[in-house]
Order: sequence, then C-alpha cells, then structure tokens
Amino acid sequence: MGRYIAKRFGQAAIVLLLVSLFTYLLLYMMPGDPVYAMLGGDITREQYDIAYAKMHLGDPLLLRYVRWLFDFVTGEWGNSFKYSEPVRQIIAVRLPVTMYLGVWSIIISTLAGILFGVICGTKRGKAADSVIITCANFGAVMPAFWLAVLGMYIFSLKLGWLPTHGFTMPSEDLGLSIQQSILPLIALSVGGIGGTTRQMRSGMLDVVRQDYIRTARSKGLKESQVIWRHAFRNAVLPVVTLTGMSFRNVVAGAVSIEQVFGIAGMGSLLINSILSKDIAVVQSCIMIISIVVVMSNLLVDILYGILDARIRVE
Amino acid sequence: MDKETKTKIHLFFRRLFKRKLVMLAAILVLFFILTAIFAPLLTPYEPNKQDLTAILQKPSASHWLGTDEAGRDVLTRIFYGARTSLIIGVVSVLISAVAGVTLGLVSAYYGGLLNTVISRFIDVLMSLPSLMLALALGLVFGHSIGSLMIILGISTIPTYTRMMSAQVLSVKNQDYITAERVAGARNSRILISHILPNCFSPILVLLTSNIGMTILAESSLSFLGMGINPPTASWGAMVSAGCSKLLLNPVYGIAPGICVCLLVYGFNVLGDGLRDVLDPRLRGSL
Amino acid sequence: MKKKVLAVLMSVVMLGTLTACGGQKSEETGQQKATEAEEDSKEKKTEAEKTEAEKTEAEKTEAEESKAEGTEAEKDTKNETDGVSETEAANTDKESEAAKSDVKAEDPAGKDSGDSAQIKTGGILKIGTPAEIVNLGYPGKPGSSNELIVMQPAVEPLCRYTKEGELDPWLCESFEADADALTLTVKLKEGIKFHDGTDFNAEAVKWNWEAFTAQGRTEIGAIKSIECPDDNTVVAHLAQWDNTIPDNALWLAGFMYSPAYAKENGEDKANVNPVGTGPFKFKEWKKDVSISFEANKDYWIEGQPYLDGIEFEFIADANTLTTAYQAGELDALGMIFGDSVSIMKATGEESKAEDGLTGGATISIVAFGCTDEKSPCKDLKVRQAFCHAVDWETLCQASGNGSMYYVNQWAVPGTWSYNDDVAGYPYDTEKAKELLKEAGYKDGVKINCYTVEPNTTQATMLQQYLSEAGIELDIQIIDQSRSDEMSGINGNWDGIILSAGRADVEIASIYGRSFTDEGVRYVGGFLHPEDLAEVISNAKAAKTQEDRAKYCKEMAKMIIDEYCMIAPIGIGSGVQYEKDYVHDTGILRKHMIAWTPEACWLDK
Repeated sequence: MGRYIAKRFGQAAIVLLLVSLFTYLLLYMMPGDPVYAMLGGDITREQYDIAYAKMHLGDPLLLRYVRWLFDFVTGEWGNSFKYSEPVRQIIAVRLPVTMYLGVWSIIISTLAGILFGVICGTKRGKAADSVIITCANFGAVMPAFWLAVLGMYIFSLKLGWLPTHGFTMPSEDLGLSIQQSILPLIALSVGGIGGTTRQMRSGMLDVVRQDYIRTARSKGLKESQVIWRHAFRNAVLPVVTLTGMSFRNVVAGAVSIEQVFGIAGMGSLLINSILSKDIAVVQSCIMIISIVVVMSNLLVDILYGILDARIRVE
Repeated sequence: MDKETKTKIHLFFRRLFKRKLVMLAAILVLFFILTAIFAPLLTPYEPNKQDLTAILQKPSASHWLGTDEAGRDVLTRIFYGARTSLIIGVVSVLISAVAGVTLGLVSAYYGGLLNTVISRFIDVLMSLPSLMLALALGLVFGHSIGSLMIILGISTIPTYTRMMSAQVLSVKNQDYITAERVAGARNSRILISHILPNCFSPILVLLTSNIGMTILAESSLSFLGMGINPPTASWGAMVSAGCSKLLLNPVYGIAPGICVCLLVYGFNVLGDGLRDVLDPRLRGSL
Repeated sequence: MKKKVLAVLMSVVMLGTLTACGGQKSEETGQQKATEAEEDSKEKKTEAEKTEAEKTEAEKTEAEESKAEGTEAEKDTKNETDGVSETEAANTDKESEAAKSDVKAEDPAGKDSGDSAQIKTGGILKIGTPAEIVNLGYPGKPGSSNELIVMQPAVEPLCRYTKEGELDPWLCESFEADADALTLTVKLKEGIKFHDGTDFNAEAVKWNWEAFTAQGRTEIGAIKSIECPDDNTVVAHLAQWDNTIPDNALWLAGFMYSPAYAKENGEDKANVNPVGTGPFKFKEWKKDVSISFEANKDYWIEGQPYLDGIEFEFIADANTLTTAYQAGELDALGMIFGDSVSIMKATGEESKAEDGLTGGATISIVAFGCTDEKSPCKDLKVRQAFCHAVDWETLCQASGNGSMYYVNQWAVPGTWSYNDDVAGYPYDTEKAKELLKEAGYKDGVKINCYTVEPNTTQATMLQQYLSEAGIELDIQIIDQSRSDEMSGINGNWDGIILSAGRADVEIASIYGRSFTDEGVRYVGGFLHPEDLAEVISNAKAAKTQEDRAKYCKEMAKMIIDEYCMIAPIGIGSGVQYEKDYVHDTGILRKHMIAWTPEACWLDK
C-alpha cells in the first residue's frame, strides 16, 4: 500500500505540473490584453506602457511561467493585476466559502441520494420507485441556475421567507448563515441528489442479480442483512467514485449559483479572473482545484480499498 | 441472417419499451426531434424576425408563449431552438466519443509509454473544472455553433477514455482475444472488430445520457454570457435570457427551461433503458 | 468665461456665509442644494401652506416620535416645514439662523426650494450595484465613472458640477482660469484634513495633479508647471491655452488623495484604500461583495455626514439585484443598466434620476472600422448605407428600456456643444441599397460586429434592420478586455464595434481622444483627417465661449455628415432607484457622476 501511495503521489505531482503548464498556455492563447482588463479601454499609450512594464508582460512566456511557479511554491502565489493583492490572500477568503457550501451539498446529495437509491433498488417497480426515480431524473436535469432563479423568485420575492443574496459564515452569525445557505444549497444539491439516486439505484439493481447475493440469500440471511451487508457495500462503490469526481466541481464552485446568489466564492473568482486575464489568480485557482482533485482521487482509491476487500488483497 | 437480425432488433425494442417510462422517454425525444425537423411547418413566424413594437409581451392568441426582448415569437424560437440544442448535443457528444474512445482504446490496448502520455493528458483534462475549460476554450475559439460543439465535446472526453480503458483492460486478456492474437491477427483488426463491439453498449448508454449533459452545459455557458452567437435560437440562450425577464414575461423564462428538462430527461431515461437492455449481466432478467 | 467667474464668486460668497453660520446651517444649505432638484414640483407650494405646516409641526413631531403612523407624517413634515431638525435638540437654538439659509441658498446652482427636511441621523445606506470596481482612489487610476461614483464618500473633488454643467467649487473656494496669462489659479478652503490627519493644502493639490499625470494620463497634459505661492493657493502654468483644463484639473484630476498616505504605503495599497477628505472613511472592501465606508467624525462640514456609513453591495445578476431591492435588503440601486432597468420598470418603480442631465453621460455608438483593409466599412458609402438602413430612433427606444434617448451626433442635446444642423441619416432602406450598389456590393455585404454580452439585444436588433438592406451582420460576442483591446491604442477592427463612449458638455477633449493622431480610444479604426484635427484643436484652444461652441458644433457635424465614422445610438439618461425613506443622495440629480454622500440621510 505504501509503495502504491508513493507512486500515486509521484503521478500527482507530474499531473499538477502539466495542469499548470496547460493552463498557462491556454491563458496565453486567449485573446484580450490584461492591461485593458485592468485599466479599461480609454487609456493613453503612456498609461499602457506603465502598466505593461509593471505587469512584466514584456518578459518571455517561459520566464513569466517560471516566475509564477516560483511564487506559487514559495509564498504569496503572485500578485493579482485586478485586485492589487497577493493571490493567496484572495483565495484564503474565497476558498472557505466555496468549501463550506460545496461540502454540505456533497454530504446532502450523497446521503439523500444513497437513501433514495436504496429505496428504489429494493422496491423495484413499485410506486415508490417510480415516483422517486422520476423526481430524481428531473432533478438531475434541471439547470441549476434556473432552479436558483425560480427559487429566489418564489421564496425571496413572493413569500419573503429567505434573503435573496449574500453569504455569512456560521461562525459570524449562525441564524443569518443558515437562512442565506438554504436556497444555494438546495440549488446546488438537487442535481447531485438526482445523479446519486440514479447511480445508487442502478448499482443496487446490478448487485442484486449477482451470484453472491443469491448465495447469501440461499444461506438464509435476512433480506435486510443481504441488502445492507452485501448489496449496499458493493453498490455504493460507484457512488464513491461519483462523489470523488464531483469534488472538482465543488472546489471550482458552482459559478452560476454563486452568480445568482451574489456569493463571492471560487467559481466567480475564477470566471472573473479568466475574463480579466488575471493570470496569477487563474493559475493559482486551477492549481488549488487540481490539488483537491488529485487528493480526492487518492482518497477515493483508499476508500475503495476499504470498501472492496478484493482490491486491498491485490 | 437477415431474419435473425430482424428478430434481434425486434426483441431489443420489445425489451427496451417494456418499461412504460422508457417508452415515454423515447416518445419525448422523438417529439423534440420531429419538432426540430418540422419547425418551419409548425409556426407562421420566422425565428429571427423581430418586431420592435411588440417586445416582451405576455402570452396571447397570436403569440402563444409571448415574445422576447426583440419581439420575436418565443414558441417559434423554442421550435428552432430544439434544432440547435439537438445538433449541439449530438454532434459534440459524437466528437468527444470518437476522440475519447480512440484514446482509451489505444492507450489501454498498447499500454506502455503511449498509455502514460494519454493517461496524464486525461488526468489534466479531468482536474480542470469542465465549465471553466469550456469557458476558456470559448474565449480562444469563439462562439459559433461549430466551435461550441468542439468546446463542449472536449470537456467530456475523459469520461469516454476512462470507460474505454477499463473495458479494454477487462476484455484484453480474455481467451478469445488471446486466441486471435495467437492466430496472427493485426492489432487494429482486433481493436476494431473484437474489442470495440464488445464495448458498444456502455458507449451507447453513455452517449445517450451525455447528450443531455451537453445540452445542460450549453445553457450554463449561455447563462455566463458565453453561449452561442446571436441571433441563433438555442434553448440555453433562451433560458438564460428569459430568467432575467421573469417579471416581464414569466413564460419566456420558464418554458425553454422546461423543454431543456424534458429533453434531457428523455435522453437520460432512454440511456437508463438502453443500459438495462444492453448490459449483459442484466440481460433476460427484465 | 465671465459668467463662469461670476458664478464662482457667488458660490464663494455663499460658502463663506455657510461656514459663518456654523454646522447646522451648512447642513441645511447642503440639504437644500441637494433636494431642490428632487422637490422641484413641491417648491411651488405657497407660503401659506408652509406656515400652516409649521404650526402643526409640533404635533407631527410627536406623531413621528411615537413611530406609530411613521411614514406619512414624516413625509409631510419633510416637504413642508422649514428647516428645523428636531432630531438634534441641541440645534434648535440656532433656529433664528434658519432665515439666513433661505437667503443665501440662492446659490448659482439654482433656486431655493424653500423647504428643508427634518434630517435624521444614523443608519447605513446600502446601495446595490452591478458595477465592477478595480481602482479606488489613487490619482489617475480610477477610470470608469462607476469607480468615480463609488470613491466619492471618501475622496472629494476640488469642484463638483451644477445642474447646468458648470464647475461648482467644493474643496476649493474659487478658481480662475486666465487664457492670456496661461494660468489656472485655485484658492483652497482652509482647515480641511485628510483622513490620516494630514493637512489638505496647496502641496497636496500639486502632488495629486502630478501623480495623475504620472499615471500616463494626458487630460491635464497642458499643465507645464505647478506653483504654490501659499498654503491655500495653487497656480498651474499651462504650456498653451486649453479650455478643457479647468474641467479636467478640478474635476477628473481634482479628486484629492492624501499624499502622505500614498507615499508611505505605495501605489498598490493606496489604490485599494481611499484616503481623502470625504465625509466617510474607507472601512472595508470585500472584493466582489461590498465596499463599506464609515462616518468621518472630523469631517470639515460640522454636523455632517448624517449617516453612520455607506455600503455598496456588488451583485452582478440583474434578477438578484432587483429582487434584493424589492425585498428591502437594499436602500438604493445605482449604476444599473440593461435587464435590471427593464425589470425595475416592469415592477412600476420610478427612477429618481433627474431628466436631461448633461454632465458625465455615456453614449452608445457604432464605431466603424474605417482603416482595416478587410473592413467593408473603409468605404464611406458602405458606412452611409449602414446608417440609412437602420431606424435608429426605434432601435434606441426598444433596446434602451427607456433609460436611453436618441441623438444623431456625439454630443449632449441641450448643451452649447450640440449642433442642431447635423443632418444625420434618415431611415431609408432603398437609399441604403442604392449606396451599397454604388460601393460595388450589388449582392449585399457581410460586416463583422464585435460587442460585449450586455449589448446582445441591441446587436440582434441592428442585425434585423441591416439584413433588409442587404447587409449581413455577423455578431461576435467578445469579452470586455478584448473589446477594450480592439478599441484601445494598439487596436483595430475589421467591421464595427458596438460600444459606448463618454459624452460630456465639454466635448472637444473627448473628440481629441478618438479622432486625432494623439488619440487613445477607437483610434486605430477611425480616420484622422487633417481638417477635423484642426477643428478639434481650434475648439480646445478657443478663448471665447462663442468660438469654442462654434468649433465644437463644426466637429460634431463633420464626423457624422462628412466622414460618417460613428453611428450614434443614444445617450444613457441614467437611472437611480431609491426607497422613499432615502433622502438627498444627490445621485443623478445634477450630474451623472458627482453626488452628495455627506448630505444623505435615512428616514427609517
């Protein structure tokens, strides 16, 4: 296991480096000049030249990349053109917001999804199955921003129950934080619940037909035991993968949801920075996201090992 | 042979449509496809014909779903939007499937350095958030319908590649493949005539549900202002434009959204249905 | 020029009295100045009504304090009583001075409304906006009008504007521009301190002007040297006469930032920490969320500001922004455009902005790429055909949601620089087709149209009109920085850009920035004909108002009728929504940018 993990770490490092290089090139290819993004279009040549020099845009591409990499490894992650602040400070404010909402939405959608999925899987073809799976299917396909806008329209404007926008950490003001989080969390989780339910249901259906379940049944185990001890454990594996994969989108933030609810998270930071060609910020955001993705993949593998004895033996 | 194929197909459809839900989904998808094809016959209006004197009107007898911000008939644009959405969905999924499947097939079958290179490339793609990738690529390639297909396609390549390599690895060392190899068959022949057909069903399932995902992704891109160039009618652009006009003509924001939901729902359920029928482990058990 | 100096003198007198009257009075004067626009209709109320209101005032006050039937009584009192604030008991002994405020309030800015409200102190004004703010304060850095608006609570200009578009001294006592001596002399107010405790004086003004130019900006480039004869006098010596200098030096470059703070903390930090002389101190900037200011206890007008703080909340999404306002989470909406405006209109809200504001407006234009080889628009006939093909007035109304009015030239109607003789291009599809044929495009022509996402609707409407005349418009939605790059100094474009520009009363320097070799904006795609350049420089160097107006009108006509380099769509009239309990923000009441944060108060 140790060697395996070490090997995975090595791979991860290479992937991260490639990701940073890839993003850098992509940003370089993108049309649009960061100087204009910072100062607007109505600037004189002198203004342009001053900013151009200050942003080191005249340096060769590789030098700028290496400089950024050095900054990222050693400290402040470079300086944002747009926010005139070290990138690390900016991300330190944004990441917790996104993580808070994202982790909750993952917990909600995974737990609810597994529960619904198990119900469907065990009650195949019955009314409960049909109702849940229809809802889940629709939930999985609703554009999140559309749901968010409609939700705000109904609950904030028409009913006045919930605040329209903003985000507060629970440590600052628990009540307000909960109120503000309800709509975004619903909008964020509905898709996940739908997806997980579908996955879990089909996983259960798969497993239920397998020989070892038949064997378990024939051994005279109780149905609930069969379901929870055997079927569930195996059916939940793909769900773990799914959750692991959705982690990258958690860190990236659900841009459209952040946009709708005026939440300053990683998603809106990343989008705005891409649009304003704020290279250091985009690079660092992508790196953070990649690191989380790589780590979560690792975690998924370890979880797999725990859940699936066969892999552990190998 | 011919008769055999016929019965096979017959059996396939009978199994597929045994579940009412799948039947319904197929009807939904078919309905939208027909709408897209016969759009000009279904409406007296032109999709891009503007009437600046009738902006954002509520539903009426002449405009069943009202008009949009340029006085265009919303229903007409939904019909034509079905075209755009379906074309974008299908073509970009095909692009990503072809690219992804090829990469997965090749990398898993040959292994070695090629596998390493492709795997790392896929890792890179996977660790980039898909919407960001699409957005950035959009800025590079522009937002014509063609580039949008490629952009949306690229972001879903990893799923196919991953799945393909898993499939290939599980089939690669099975007896009949080994037998072929021993018999001196060329690699490309083995890949195309033996391994690929074996993986056909999971690909088909994935294809079907990915069409839905792509249509959703297109609407998210539109919401961020990075959708298809106007005046082309697409559901994504309509949902995002309509959402900000809920107070003026609520139908304009809600109707295209419902269409997106229904179509994607249709594709997803159809995908599930196909999976149930095609998955060998479940065959016969339905 | 004479008129201007007179106006300045009058305002000096007024301000003198104001200071003499002490805190309470100055509050009221400021108050009246700010409210008069708003209460224009109410000012016609008779004296009789007023006295009656005064009689009942005591009762109303009680009613108000009980807060039972709050708002209605409050509104009445606000509109009809004369200048007594019962919220501050200590101030009542100054009541005798109330009469004075009536007299001296006949300031150059307009007539006295005769009414003053019962000002309440405290509260935080929350203004929601979709504006994007990058620079906040450091001289020369804030470029957009939104940035200038947001920084005004903390950083004040030397002059504000009157409703007529005249400079209205604020941090200075007076100024005098002498065309023959080539000087601009500014007398500063005394006893004003920056938030960091350092003095606001002549040296500070000198530093600010120099820092402005050091950013590479050319607006006050004609200033050759700056001299400080004493602590409160600054004299700028000009290299050559430029009649745009007073506006640029006292307004654009006139926002005074603390030199000490800037020197100590460096440009980057200073740029996100506005330290000025304003009524509010900068408190916190949560990037992309909010910028908050707290009251400056040592503000130079005693008794002001009334509010405890001002907070700008940044919400990009039009739906959320308007919903938040309607749900009562915001007190005001500012700097909004597009969808937000149409939503607000649909809900029946009335904009509180004054109609017909002239200063600091924005104009939507189609900028033709006249130089690129691939651009069909390099042919004058194609450009003219383009203009004839579109019903600009309808387009303007349909796409502007009522927050835009049509103009046929790059100037503001109703001002001295506006030319009534511009012929323009009447809507005539046949003529357009004919011109296209003459240009050699018998089977129509394809033109690329570059624009940012918020203009999409406008672009598609344009597309429809043009298609009827045989012009195919290929719309490319690009991001803001790409658009800025195309229209910037190094840029060019092979079709049209659908974008916006500044349109002020003082139009010559704006033209100079686009149509001459020294220009900066749209400069790559526009022609720089010599005769036009000459008229522009004449307009800038004109020493009399008549000459200045004459040249300005001439150039407005040239770029439309002769060269057809732009097609104007409309001037944004600006919208501002405020709840009824918000008073005297002054936003969009006299000028598109200048407002009165110190005078705002909330009647909650």
